[in-house]
Amino acid sequence: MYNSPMEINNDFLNRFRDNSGKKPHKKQVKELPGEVVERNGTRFLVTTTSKTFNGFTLPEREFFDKSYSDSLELLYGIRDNKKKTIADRGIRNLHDAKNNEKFSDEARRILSALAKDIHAVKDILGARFSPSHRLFFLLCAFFKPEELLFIDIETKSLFFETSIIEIGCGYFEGKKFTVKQFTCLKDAAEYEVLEEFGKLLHGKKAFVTFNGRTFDIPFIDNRISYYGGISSAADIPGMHNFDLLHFSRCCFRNEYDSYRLKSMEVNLLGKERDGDIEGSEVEIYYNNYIESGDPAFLEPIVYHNREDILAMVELFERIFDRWV
Amino acid sequence: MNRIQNLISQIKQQRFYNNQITDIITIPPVPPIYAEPDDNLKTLRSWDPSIERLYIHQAEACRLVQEGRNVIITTPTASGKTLAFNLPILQDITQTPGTRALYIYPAKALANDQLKVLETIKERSGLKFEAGIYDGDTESHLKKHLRDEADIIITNPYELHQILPFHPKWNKFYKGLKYVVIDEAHRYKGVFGSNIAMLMRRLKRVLAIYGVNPQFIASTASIANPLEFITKLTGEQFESVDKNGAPSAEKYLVLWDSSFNPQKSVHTQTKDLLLFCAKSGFQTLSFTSSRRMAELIRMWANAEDRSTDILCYRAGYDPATRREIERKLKEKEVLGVVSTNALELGIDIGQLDVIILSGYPGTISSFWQQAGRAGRKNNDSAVVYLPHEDALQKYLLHNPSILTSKTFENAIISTENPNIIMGHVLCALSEAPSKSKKIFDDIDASPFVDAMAGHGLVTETPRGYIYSGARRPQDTVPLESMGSGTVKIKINGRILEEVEMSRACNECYKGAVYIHNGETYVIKELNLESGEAVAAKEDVDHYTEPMKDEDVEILKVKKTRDCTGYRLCFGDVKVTEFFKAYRTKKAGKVISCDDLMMPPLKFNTEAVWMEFDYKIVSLIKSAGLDFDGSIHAAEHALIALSPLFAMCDRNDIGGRSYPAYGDDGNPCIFIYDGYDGGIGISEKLFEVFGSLASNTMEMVTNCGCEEGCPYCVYSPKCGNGNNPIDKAGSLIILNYLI
Repeated sequence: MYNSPMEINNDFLNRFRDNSGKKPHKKQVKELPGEVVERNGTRFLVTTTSKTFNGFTLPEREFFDKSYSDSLELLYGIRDNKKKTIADRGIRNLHDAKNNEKFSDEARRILSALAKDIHAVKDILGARFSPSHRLFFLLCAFFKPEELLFIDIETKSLFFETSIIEIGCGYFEGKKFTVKQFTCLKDAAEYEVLEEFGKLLHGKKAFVTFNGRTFDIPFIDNRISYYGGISSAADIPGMHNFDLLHFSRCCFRNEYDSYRLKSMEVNLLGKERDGDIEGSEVEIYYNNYIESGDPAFLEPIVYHNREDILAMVELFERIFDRWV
Repeated sequence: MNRIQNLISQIKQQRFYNNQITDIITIPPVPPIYAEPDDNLKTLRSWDPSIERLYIHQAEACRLVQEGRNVIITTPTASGKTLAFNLPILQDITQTPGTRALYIYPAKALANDQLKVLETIKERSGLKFEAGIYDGDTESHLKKHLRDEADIIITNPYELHQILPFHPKWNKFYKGLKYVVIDEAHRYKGVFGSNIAMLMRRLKRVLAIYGVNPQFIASTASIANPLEFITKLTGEQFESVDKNGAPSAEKYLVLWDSSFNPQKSVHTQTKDLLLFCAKSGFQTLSFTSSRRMAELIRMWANAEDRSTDILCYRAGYDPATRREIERKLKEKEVLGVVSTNALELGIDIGQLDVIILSGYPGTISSFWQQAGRAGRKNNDSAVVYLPHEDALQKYLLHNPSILTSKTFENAIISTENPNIIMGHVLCALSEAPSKSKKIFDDIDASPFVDAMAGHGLVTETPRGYIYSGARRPQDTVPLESMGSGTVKIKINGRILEEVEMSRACNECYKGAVYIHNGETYVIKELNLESGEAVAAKEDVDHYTEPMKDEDVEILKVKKTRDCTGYRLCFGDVKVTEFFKAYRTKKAGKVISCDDLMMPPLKFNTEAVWMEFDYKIVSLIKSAGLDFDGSIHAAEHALIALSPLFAMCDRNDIGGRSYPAYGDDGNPCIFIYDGYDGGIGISEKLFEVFGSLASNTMEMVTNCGCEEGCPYCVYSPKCGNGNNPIDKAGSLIILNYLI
């Protein structure tokens, strides 16, 4: 039976909305923080900011190769104790192992990957180490800073059956780090935002994310599949991903109680954000913005996302300092 | 005298026997009807030489599947339905690599059984194919393997509901998907079935993305309307296979009226029968209405006689225990088992000698599903039916031809309930955008899309309509209920059950005794705003019922039929239920009455109603009868027999009679669907109203009571405590309806 006009009771509607009942705090902002782009009848916001990072570098390739060939653990069955035993027998790295009858074949195979490409090296590492291992981080030696794309997304919920609100990206041009953020101004603009994001992938070879392995990357993947594919973003599956959450946990093991980005920022970087919102509050602010059109609800989302990306660059540097 | 006749004559000499057997009906043996040997039989024998012939229904189903038709097989339990679809599917899978099939089962145990069947075929035939169960218990690495490699995936509707958004991961499986099997389809009725109907449309929509339009094969227990039902469930046209070729041995239906021995309750008599049959060496299974009763009967039986170890089977036991009882039944290691309807479903336990049905299981179809457990090959068997105190149950005792002629009920589902459609529209749009506002081929979702776009849950984009809510809809839309307001019943903070708002108002008010899986709980608190009720486990032997008034307002008349002296209508109504008080009863007697403070419950639903000429009032009054009591009694009787026509529970429908309704002041009887939005019951009752009226007339006429009783015009859930009631007057009204 249909009733017209259709009445839908609020109980039903609220089950599909954020119902935490939290009221957002408005900032005193009058204008949208960026440039409004209209396409296909939908609108999204492009926010571009930049910051200089003087000290950002990536390790030299020789450094990686040395760390790699020093890792006797890449040999099957070699762990800490065994390592000492064979070190006493004069095997201190894989090159030494090449000359040992027992390890020769395996050591040659492992070292030969270095002459191939990053995928061959990744396969060797993946067979012996967890993805949070230092050597996985050091794979950044295979890239130039200009080839990295830092990304962070804001979404309506943790599930990809709901949509993306904003994609923030950061990339280097020399010492200049540019943050480009695409924010849906209507729910309808998600596809266009993904398309814009796809265009930024040109010339990029690796993502840097915080928890992107389980969240950001699969989320983006699934949203693209939802629309049946987006040609500009076709290169995503070939991109390498440096997930800083996993490296932080490993690099600063037992040093902190929490490895959330915000607490790392406070405890490791010694920074506190001014009036920032929680990731879980994004959807509340966004809903208020959609309902009222008041930019004061949107600005905190853009700010939050940008700060996350900038914090990722600094975190990357700290891990670099510790491990390189 | 054969074995069973001998057993019956011995029962008649027992102390517990007091002429309770009112009738014994012999159901003659049916010989097998085999199909002419054909290529399918040849194929089958190459897989398993021990198979001799195919029954006609198996051969017919195979042929239709091979011709590419959608097929529904409607033959009794244990007639070899599974083989009928496994044969052509396996043939195709092994001949055309990459062909895949999805089997959907309503329960885990059935999925396990089907997997075992397939594994056995594989072992015997040496065929190469892979089948696996994909559900909440499947480990994640295995899930990926199954999606990529399995030829047959067996799952359940709950899992399907959850995995539809992941379709890109299923790409390989879906692209090859040629068959969707819906086994035990009769389980998808009522609110649950209406949700499954939407789920099937979502599945078809996702498959269409991959260019796939699969063939559907369904099997169901006997129902009156297999084609209408399956078409509603899937939105596809089907061919029906219902000519059964499987044989059955002679069977005796023993009708037992427990009221002939007022010293003993029907449950005690069930125990006596079970124990006696088992002790006499007949393998016996007794079905009871609740878990608690099952446990009690086992306890009484074992206390009385330790030598025959009676076992109990019910949901809630761990799987290992249940498998063990199933095995013992199958291998004849146990003589007596008392079970809830948990054993009714197609679980394989072999055939038994005696089945005792303590209480009517609710539908004729279930009756024969349970009774179908009796009847070993070439061996006669007995089914004993003991009705409980209820009008319909007793009616069947006196009219066993309704049972034996197997005129089954109509399975009811609705594809028009707005509450159900809305939730699935959101799910569908979260699975893929839709260019068309209609979304589904055969259900127009446009009004819902418009309404929800107005609330921001759906957004129109250049890519089509998309879901724009902030919650995963698959987690928010339940398959068992309507998804509109629900109440969570909690016990020690744990959720016991989630029930519809209307059911909560009627059964979960503060002080109510709530029965869940045969256990009793007392409701301590009900908060309709937060949607929570707090319950405590208390073993009580009393029960409660609300006292309420209903008000029915006609919103829209959709169908009418003019009959002599009255007009029959079907349409949309608004029902308001006012809760006044509740009564606590023990053994049928009121022991207390307490006030209820609750806001009225309002919902829009569908109803069938009779508008009488005013002259019926004078007809009854001139006979010196009470009109208010007469129309009230007629309403109760009609509702009591409604489940015989529309497969539903008495609690799924509500009623209200008016001695004078609306502006015209004509008498009126309403029967409405007890669910917000309606579920199709009243619409079916409108169609079959003639038969409903004449059967009801017959029931009331033949009831031996003088002034009305629970076996005819008293309703166990009457909001006015069956007052006023005039049985004699109700007969005049019912006569008027025929």
